[in-house]
Amino acid sequence: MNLKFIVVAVLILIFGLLNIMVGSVNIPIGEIIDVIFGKSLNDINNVIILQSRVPQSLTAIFAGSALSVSGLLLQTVFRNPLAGPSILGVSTGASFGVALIILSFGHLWVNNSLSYNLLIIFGALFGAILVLGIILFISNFVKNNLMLLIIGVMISYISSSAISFLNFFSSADSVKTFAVWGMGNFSGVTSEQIPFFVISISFFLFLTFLLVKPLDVMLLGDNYARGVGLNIKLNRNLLLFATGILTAIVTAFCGPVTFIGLSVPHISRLILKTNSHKLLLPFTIMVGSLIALICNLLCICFPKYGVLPLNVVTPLFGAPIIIYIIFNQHKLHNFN
Amino acid sequence: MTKIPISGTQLTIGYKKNNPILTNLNFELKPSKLTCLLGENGVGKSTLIQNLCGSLKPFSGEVKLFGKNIVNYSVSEISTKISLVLTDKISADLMTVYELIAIGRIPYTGFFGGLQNADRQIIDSALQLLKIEHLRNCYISELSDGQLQKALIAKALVQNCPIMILDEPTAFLDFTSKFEIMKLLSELSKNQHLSILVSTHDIDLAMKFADDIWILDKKELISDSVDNILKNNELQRIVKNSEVMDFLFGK
Repeated sequence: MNLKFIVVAVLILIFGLLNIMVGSVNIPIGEIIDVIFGKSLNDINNVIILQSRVPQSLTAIFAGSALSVSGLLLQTVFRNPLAGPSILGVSTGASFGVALIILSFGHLWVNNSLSYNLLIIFGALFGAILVLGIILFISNFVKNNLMLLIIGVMISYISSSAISFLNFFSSADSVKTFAVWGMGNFSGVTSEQIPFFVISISFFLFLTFLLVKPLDVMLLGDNYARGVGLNIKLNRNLLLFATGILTAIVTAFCGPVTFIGLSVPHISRLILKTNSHKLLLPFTIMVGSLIALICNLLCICFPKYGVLPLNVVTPLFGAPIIIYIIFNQHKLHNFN
Repeated sequence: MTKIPISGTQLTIGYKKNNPILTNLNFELKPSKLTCLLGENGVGKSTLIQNLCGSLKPFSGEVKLFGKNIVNYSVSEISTKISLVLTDKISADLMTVYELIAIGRIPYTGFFGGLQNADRQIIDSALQLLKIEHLRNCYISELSDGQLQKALIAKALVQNCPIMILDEPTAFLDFTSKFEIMKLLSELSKNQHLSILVSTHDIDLAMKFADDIWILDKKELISDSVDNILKNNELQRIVKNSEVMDFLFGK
């Protein structure tokens, strides 16, 4: 068990370094170490590493872990293996909130000022919580998991429509800002923003650790959970709020990143072979970071052609996972 | 004087107030006895059970838990009085038997749910008592239905409650497993001094192992000892087909 944690940690380190090394200018590892310890005299490398690549790697690490934990919590709370922030429409809801802000106020604000960022996060949070609220409300009546997913997908479509609608009436500049944001990338967080990004995600990840006790019980369903004295409503609302805010922060900065939240919890379960959240939660955080780093590396490793949008890469490993789950019928059956 | 574990007076229950499923129910669950709740499909056994453990509230009348109205208990207080075995599906393929049983200790563990040595001893003795020690590290998806029921009963057992309520624990089991489960529950009620209520369709096994029988039909709930139930022919309320009756008890 410990070995698996160590292997993933080492891989995070390796891919973290690769993310810093690879790009339009390849930088050798010795130079990176010099820059990090302030010994390098090469100003250009200093700028590239400290202003661009380190923030980007950190963004991938924290965005990956936040999305993966969101997926894990959604799968547990809805007891549904196919739940995830992008499938249930939470990401699109967050996008809608962001669209509302960028397209209606974008021209009024100085880009990247803290107040503008907070406003965008607020918009994302509003959209994410709105969708989660609707899904939660509907889940009272629709007990069938697949039906609930389809409703999530439909809500996604409605939010997309609303976004296009907003686009239609907006200025060309705002639309461009929004379109670039919508393709997803880990390079949008500047070195000034990175402390806020890292601290806020760490804080909410820490909060989810405080909810580890109810998570295992929730796998048994509401009645058993109540039977061992759990306050279902309170715990579920706290968990969904944590999910909403983690998804919202990532979506606000990186765009609606697909598939990471859905697939990483499954990869973690497959490797650890456990449902115990005490192990799954930290491992999902680590695997999420690793997968995000790998995806980001794939995006940046063809510098001749520019940078691939993140959402081109994430479905490559995310979609097969869904197919695997569908083929693995008894698993789906047990969740229903 | 020992208080009655669960009693109901003038109980009207259901899901819609203008269309209750059952009205005017009166009953007492006897301490340290195995009571079987019999009734046809759809008569409201599960609804009654949900009212007994406080997850549904009656429209009128009251359920008393050790003499105090159950609505005055908090959810966590109830979790130290009543343990449950339900028919709900469990969506945790990769949970081990040990982890499942450990969930029964949740009402007693701290903030993060970590197990103390005392908790582990209680879980170990439950595994022994139910003779499922060899399954402790199996995933619950690998268990047979009978083994899963035993694991769920072990989970209920470690919850250390004076009352255990089981909703159709013998459904979907082969006959040997049904027999074993009912025998086990009968022994638990005596040896562990548990007041156990089991809803079941297995009339024959209920008659063999239960101390008391509750018969629920659309009009009322009859509760009596097995002997009196048989003597007064109360089973006719739920077994209307005389051929079935002849089959059950021989002509």
